[in-house]
Amino acid sequence: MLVAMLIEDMLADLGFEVLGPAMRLDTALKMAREETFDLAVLDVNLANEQSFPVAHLLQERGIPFFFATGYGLRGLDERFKEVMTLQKPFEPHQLADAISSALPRRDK
Amino acid sequence: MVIGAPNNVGMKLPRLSARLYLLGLITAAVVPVWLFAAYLLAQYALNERSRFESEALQVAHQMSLVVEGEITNLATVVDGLSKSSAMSRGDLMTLHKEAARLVLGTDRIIFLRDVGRNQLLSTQAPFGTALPPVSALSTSEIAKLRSNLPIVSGVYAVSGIYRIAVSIPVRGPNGEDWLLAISVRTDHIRDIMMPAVPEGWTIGVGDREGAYVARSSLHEEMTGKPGLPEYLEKVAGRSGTFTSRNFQGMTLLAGYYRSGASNWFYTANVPLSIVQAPLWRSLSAIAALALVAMLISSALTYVVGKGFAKAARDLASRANALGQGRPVKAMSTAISEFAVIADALVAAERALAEREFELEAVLETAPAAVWFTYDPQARRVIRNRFAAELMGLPTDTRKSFGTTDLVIDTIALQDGHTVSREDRPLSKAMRGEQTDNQEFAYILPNGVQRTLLSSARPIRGTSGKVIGAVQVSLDITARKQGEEQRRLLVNELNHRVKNTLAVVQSIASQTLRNATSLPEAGRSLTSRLVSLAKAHDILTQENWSGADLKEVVTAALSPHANRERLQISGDAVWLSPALALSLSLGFHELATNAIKYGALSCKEGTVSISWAVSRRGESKHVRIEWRELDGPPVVAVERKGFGTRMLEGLLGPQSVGNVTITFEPTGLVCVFEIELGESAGPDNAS
Repeated sequence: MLVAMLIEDMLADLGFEVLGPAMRLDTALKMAREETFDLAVLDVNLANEQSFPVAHLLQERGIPFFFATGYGLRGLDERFKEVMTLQKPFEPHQLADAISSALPRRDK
Repeated sequence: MVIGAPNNVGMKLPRLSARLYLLGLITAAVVPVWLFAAYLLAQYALNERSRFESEALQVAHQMSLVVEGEITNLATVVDGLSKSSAMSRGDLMTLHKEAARLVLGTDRIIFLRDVGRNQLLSTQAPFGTALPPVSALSTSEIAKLRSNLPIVSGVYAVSGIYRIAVSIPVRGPNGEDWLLAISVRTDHIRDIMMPAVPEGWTIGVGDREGAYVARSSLHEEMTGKPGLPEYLEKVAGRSGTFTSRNFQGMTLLAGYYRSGASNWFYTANVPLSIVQAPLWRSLSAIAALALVAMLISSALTYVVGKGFAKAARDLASRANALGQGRPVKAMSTAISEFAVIADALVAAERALAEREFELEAVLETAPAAVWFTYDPQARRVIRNRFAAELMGLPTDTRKSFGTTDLVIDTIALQDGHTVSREDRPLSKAMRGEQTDNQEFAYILPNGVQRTLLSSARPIRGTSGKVIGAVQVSLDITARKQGEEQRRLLVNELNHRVKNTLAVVQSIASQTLRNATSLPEAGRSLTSRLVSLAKAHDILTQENWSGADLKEVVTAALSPHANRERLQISGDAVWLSPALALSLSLGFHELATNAIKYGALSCKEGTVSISWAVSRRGESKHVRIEWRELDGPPVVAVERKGFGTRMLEGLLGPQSVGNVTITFEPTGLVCVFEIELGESAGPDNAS
């Protein structure tokens, strides 16, 4: 939650508009299904639940995303081996790099 | 264990039973005795025979003396008559009368004859009667006549009665050569002889022609008859002995004596059977004795040999028992040498048993699983107690070691690969390969998994051939689990440290973002980090399973206010670690704010913290109220400070519930509406 606030601040500083954060799986799933956005940063753990259903939903909708977690890569589901993972804690420029490599290339 | 075949050392001896040796021994001892006895017997028999032979000679000679004495008597009778005056006068009539008187009442006959065949008178007929001629004289008789010796006749018959006659030469009145003779029946000779005949002997008297004169038995039939030619042939010379068959077909030992005076011969016969009877008696006695001795020694040999054989069998069965590790019973035997061996076997068994007890004690004590096998397939094994325990088998202490059992079907893995039974340490050891400290994972039939550190060695017999194998394994399951748990713990710790650092990063970032001055930022950051550390302490005490709400509240507020200025009340509520951390930080913010601007900034102000749990459908909710009282006049704050933002961020609608802050006239009131959910795991501090 505190970390979510940090990421929210970092994203705001990078000039992004932030939807959320969603602290619970049901909220996150609702947002992933209904809201319109360009990119999602997913923590693996959401109030004792894992965020993989959200990742799955995002994959279906074709919305880019990446994980931010304290676990190593081994904590991830097999299906998301290809998905980028940002190790906590991280610096704002690491977040920026992750976003730019996750977002499809487009003209500014 | 297997008892080896006897070594082929030394030369091969023929193998015979003890009975045969005993029989041989007895025979060797007895046969010379028999031979000696037989030799003595033969000597005795020879002595007996020569004794009989000399006795036969003696008897024959005695008989001759008896009979020749009578002949002399008869000659004396006629000699007396020849000296009478009638004879010298030639008065034959008177001579006849005198002669008749001499033989009166007897069957003797006195007669007078010339050298021719004429009889001059005979007491058989009245004087003057014409008399029958008599037999002519032989040349030897005539020769005797010339030398004035009595002449003894052979046997002759007169009217069917056999007689003999003794004659002496007399001169007639005119110088004629006459013979005065007395004749007696051969019975008379027999009667004279009989009292002198020793018992058991048969005496025969033969005349010079070989005809029987008298015989001690069957006289009537034999007298006058010629003797057997075979018999007569052997009577040569004056005296001697011989064996011969008589007319009854009986074999006889005979001694004979020929008289010079009468030229008669006397034989003394005894049946050879009587002569040899003592020999046969002794022989049969010896034979019977030998037979009895043989039977007794055979019986003894049989009995003793049987005892030997039984003792030997008993010893062999005990030696086998010793070899197979069965108990050796004490043995009762009358043969001390066998008893010594049996005692030695019992002692050996005891010594072996003690070695076995030592081994068993070691196998019971060593904290290692041990398997033995003597099966080439390594399927039949002997386990110690630990091995049985390891395999999940019952551990009957006495039975667990020493009996063979089939192996249990397990799955063995080494480095993640299945290991077939043939490639496991015990099977490899049976093939002579040795294994040292190799790690295997075993999955037992009941699904339990164990990790063993195994070593195995072949057991070699005296010839160096592999006869069995032993495997020793240490159960390192707990160690492996410990290692795995440590690895997980390290990972978990790493994860938590990183999460915590991310939280610290966030707190620092927020503090700096909202600070009015750098010193204030430093103070805020320090107190927030201390608050975070306290929440960690509580969670660590509970092993990160969660925390009690009251404890969280107390710990968060204790650095800022005395207990008497706080009123804390509510049910026991168990919080997840993440919620505990958030609430801890939240109360820290409220307390800091109260100290700066609220109820805790003056001396009279107090804070009441109360909560209640309620159910909404499936999930539990807790409503926590922070109410400040008796503080300075309340001023609503325009700017949303980090504190407020943090409260909303931590506990607001986007996360776990609702935060409502109102500024009532009595003071600030903050209400948390928090959904507790169902679970409370330790891994949720983000």
